[in-house]
Amino acid sequence: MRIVNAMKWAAATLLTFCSLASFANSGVAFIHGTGHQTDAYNDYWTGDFIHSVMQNQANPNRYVVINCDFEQYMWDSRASGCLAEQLTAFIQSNNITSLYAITHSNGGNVVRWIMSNPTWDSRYPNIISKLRNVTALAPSSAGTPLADAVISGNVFESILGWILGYKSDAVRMQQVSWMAYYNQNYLYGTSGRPGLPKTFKSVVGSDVDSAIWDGDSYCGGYQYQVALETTQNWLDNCSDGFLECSSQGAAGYVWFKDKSRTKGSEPLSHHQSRRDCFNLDSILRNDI
Amino acid sequence: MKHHNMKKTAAALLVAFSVASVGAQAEVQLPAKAFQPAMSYSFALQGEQSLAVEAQKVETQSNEYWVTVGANELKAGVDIFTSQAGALIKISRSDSQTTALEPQSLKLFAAADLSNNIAGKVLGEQDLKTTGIFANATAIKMDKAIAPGQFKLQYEGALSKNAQFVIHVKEKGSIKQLHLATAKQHAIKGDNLTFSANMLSGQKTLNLKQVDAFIMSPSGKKIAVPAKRMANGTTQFDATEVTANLTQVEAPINGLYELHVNTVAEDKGLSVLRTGKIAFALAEQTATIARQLKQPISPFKPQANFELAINEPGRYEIRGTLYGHDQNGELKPIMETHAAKHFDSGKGILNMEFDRKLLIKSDLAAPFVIKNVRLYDQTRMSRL
Repeated sequence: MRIVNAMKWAAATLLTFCSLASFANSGVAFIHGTGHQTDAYNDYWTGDFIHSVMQNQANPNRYVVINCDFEQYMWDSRASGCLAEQLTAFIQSNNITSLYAITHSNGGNVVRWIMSNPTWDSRYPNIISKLRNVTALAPSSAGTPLADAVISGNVFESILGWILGYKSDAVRMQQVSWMAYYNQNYLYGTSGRPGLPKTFKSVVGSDVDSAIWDGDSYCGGYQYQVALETTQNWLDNCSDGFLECSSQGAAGYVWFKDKSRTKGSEPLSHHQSRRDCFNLDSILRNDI
Repeated sequence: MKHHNMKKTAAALLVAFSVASVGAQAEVQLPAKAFQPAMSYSFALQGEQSLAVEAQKVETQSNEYWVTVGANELKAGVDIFTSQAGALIKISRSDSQTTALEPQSLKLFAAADLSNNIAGKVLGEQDLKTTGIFANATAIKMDKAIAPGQFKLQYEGALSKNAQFVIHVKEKGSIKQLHLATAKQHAIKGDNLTFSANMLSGQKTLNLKQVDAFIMSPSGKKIAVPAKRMANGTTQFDATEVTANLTQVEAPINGLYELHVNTVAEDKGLSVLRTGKIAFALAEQTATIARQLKQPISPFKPQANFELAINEPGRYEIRGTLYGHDQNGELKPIMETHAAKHFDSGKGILNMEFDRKLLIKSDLAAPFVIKNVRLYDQTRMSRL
């Protein structure tokens, strides 16, 4: 009799789970990193990557590719405000109840701003409530010495503003001691700070493979790989050419370090962690 | 989580908002704070979760230095000092008018032999541009076979006479590091604000032959800061007075202030040059918490009320941690709650509403206590 009851309970639980799952309206958001994007689908992620990630989903078209001005500080309306607006529109128009966010680089900071500062903007709480998971690809959670290197010493004239090269407010914000301040006072999820209200898990890129004889160097474009290796002068030995591993793993928890899951145990450079390189796309697909 | 509804959407109310004290700086755009509704939001906390809400010591290390030079200096030759082999020298254009340097016209000579160019491969602007971060820059990676010491960097091509460049010398892996530290990264104008600098070679402290420091404001204004050499080799910088005397504080919504320190030390016959910097927020005391209104926190309608004394109109936020008692009578954290509302000048009450579902779920009992109370100015993005 006990066995029968246990089986009935298990069946009922399974049915409940299945029906809840079918009621959940899942959607995916692709959130870019530093830069002012107007066509992130083609210019930042590529259609190949997005289609591969969305392949086999219940509704492979239920995704949004964010296009915002992430040259601004994360709290600026053109950054987090724009992100909130586009996520809210996606949630409302598709009746999303379970949002899986994929961020790259500084996009992780902008999402963390929303998750950590819910009273900043009246749209934030609804977005947080719908978020199921944030998968942060190579997030710059503790900044990067490269941001210091590009900003340092340059004469910052208020008249000029940030019109030179890559010296934007977003780059300025990602200097190491700046991010230490924001993590300590405005952002949650780093060591010793309150946790984030929803899962924030990072994928860490740990090396740059730029040997000219190695075909793997070409995934995502060879010229990027060569250039990335020159930036290693400012980074420690575990980095993706743009961010040190310690920064990528500073917030939330480390889901995996590239070589532990990628095809052929290949590393993911900062450029490759937003491309369909070494099965990253299928790893994400299977997690959604 | 409690979210007061408001018919107008925030999207419709987005306006360009410029904080009054920023002068000519680029405008930061914010949601129209005056039109944002009053809100409270709670985060569940896990058992013994550490909150680290108090200021923590921050330290930076540098094994690099940078200097700004003009066109005439670069054409005449700029002295470069390295303390280990294999340094990287990056030359950035710091104005938009200057044309790119031609890699073949950039020369590097040992100070003792100005006839032999040892620059080797020079990375041009196109090479560095593909990094996605180094625009308008040219670089020389010095050969590891060349011993450290004094060099001369010279440009033999044409330059406009007003051109300016930043020369950045990076010695990756060098144990000769300038350490900067501060006990806190945020200060209210008039607060004690001190920093310390220490040049180390491994465990050994190097005596500084030269040191100077300045504060750079978010809009680029420089303010000299006095340095005081201590007997143990450390240098102290007290920025309390210079920041207290500022006629206008640039609000953190526009970025952070930075202390910049330039140093020169000698070690085994080599000059060791280092530049370091550390960021901090400086704010005006735009409001204070006058008091928490005395009332027990009810498990049926859990809330706390704070009276604020507002000096500047704006949207203010209080953050705090709600604690309850476990079966052994020990206090345990339940939730972190934020509450925000717009206020005009004068006195006002900010109501913090706790999430009752989280309270029930915690299984912790009254009396409930709120701790770690912090006040934030959302309009100027200051921690008060």
